[in-house]
Amino acid sequence: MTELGSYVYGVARGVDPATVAGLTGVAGNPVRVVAYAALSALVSTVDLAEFGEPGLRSNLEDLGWLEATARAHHTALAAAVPAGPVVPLRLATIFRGDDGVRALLAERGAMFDATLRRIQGRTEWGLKAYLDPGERAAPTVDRGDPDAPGTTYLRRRRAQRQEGEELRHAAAQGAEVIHRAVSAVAEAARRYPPQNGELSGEPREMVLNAAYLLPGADRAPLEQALEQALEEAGEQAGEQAGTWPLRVRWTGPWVPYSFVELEPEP
Amino acid sequence: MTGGPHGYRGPPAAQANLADILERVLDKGIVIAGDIRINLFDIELLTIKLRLLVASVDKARELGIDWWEHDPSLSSGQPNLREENRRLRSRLAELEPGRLPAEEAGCD
Repeated sequence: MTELGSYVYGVARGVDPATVAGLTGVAGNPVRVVAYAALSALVSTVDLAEFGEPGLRSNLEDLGWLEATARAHHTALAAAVPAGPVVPLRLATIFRGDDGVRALLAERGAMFDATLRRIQGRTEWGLKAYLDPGERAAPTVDRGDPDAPGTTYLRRRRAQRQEGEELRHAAAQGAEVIHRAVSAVAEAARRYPPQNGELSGEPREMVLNAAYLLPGADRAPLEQALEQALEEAGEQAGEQAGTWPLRVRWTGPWVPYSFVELEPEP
Repeated sequence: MTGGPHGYRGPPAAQANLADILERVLDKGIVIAGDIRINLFDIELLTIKLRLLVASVDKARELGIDWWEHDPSLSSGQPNLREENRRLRSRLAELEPGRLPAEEAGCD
C-alpha cells in the first residue's frame, strides 16, 4: 500500500485555494491549502517511497531530482506571493499527513504570524558581482608564444598570475564597497558565499553574492545606490575611472527566503 | 488585511539560476522538524556538491580548490609537465603554423 505524506512549502495567511488551483508542485503533484485558524500551509501530497527518509536520502543525491524538486518548491511559493506574504520553509519539510501540518500551524502560529508581519510587502533581491577584467588581458587565458616557449613563456605566465591576483584584489575591494552602499538603503542585507560555476553556469569568478530586503516590489533604490557607489569610485580613481574589474547582475524578486530566520526588530 | 498584490512577478522558476534557487531552498527558509527527519547536510554526496556550491574562497582553499596557488607551469616540482607542454606546443606550431590553441587548460 502506498504511504502518503504532506510536503509543506511554506505558510501564509488565509490563502484562497483558487490561488494555487492548477499549480503543479513537487513530484508533479498539485499544490493545495491546509488551513488552521488564520494560517494556511501550502502543501502537496507525496509518496513516502519517494519522500520518506530512505527515498529522500538517495533522491537528494540525484542532482536532476534535486533540481526538479527545488524548482517546484520555489514555484509553489512564488505563485502564492501576489496574494500576500509567504514564509518559506526549507526544502523537504514533510509530515505523515495533514494533521501534522495543522499541528504545526497551531503550535508555531505566533512565530509564523510575527514573521508574516515582518515580511509583509517586502521583496528580496539578489546581487552578484563577478570578476571581469573587461578590456584588460584576461588573467587566466594563456595564449603562450609560438616562437619563444621556455623562459619567455614562463615569465608571461608569472606576470599573468600576478595580474590575476591584482585584479582579484581590486574586484574584492569593489565588491565590499558596493555591498556597503546597497546595504545602506536596504532594510536588511545578507551575504552568501560565492557560487560554484558548474552549478551557476557562469565561468567568471564570483566576488559578491548578496541578498537585500526591500519594502515594496521595486528595486530602484538598490540600483540607485549601486550606481552612485560606482560613480563615486570612478571620481576618486580619477584617470583610472572604472578600475573595478567587476560585472554585476541582479536577481529577483525573490520570496524573502534569506530573511525569514532573522529575529524581528526590537 | 491579508496582503494584497504588490506587483510581484516571478522570477520564473524555469529561468532562475539553479545555484540561486538551491542556496535559498536548501540553506535558508524556516527549519521545521517534520515527521520525516533528514538533515540535508548529512548526505555525503550532496554535501560534496553543495560544498562546492557554497564554498567561499577561503573554504575553497581548505578543500583544496586552489588552482591559482598551485599552477603546475609555475611550480619547480613539475619539470616534466612543463617540458611536455613546451614540446606539444612546438609540435602543434609545426603542424598548424599560424594557429595556436586558444586554451591550454589540458596542459595545466
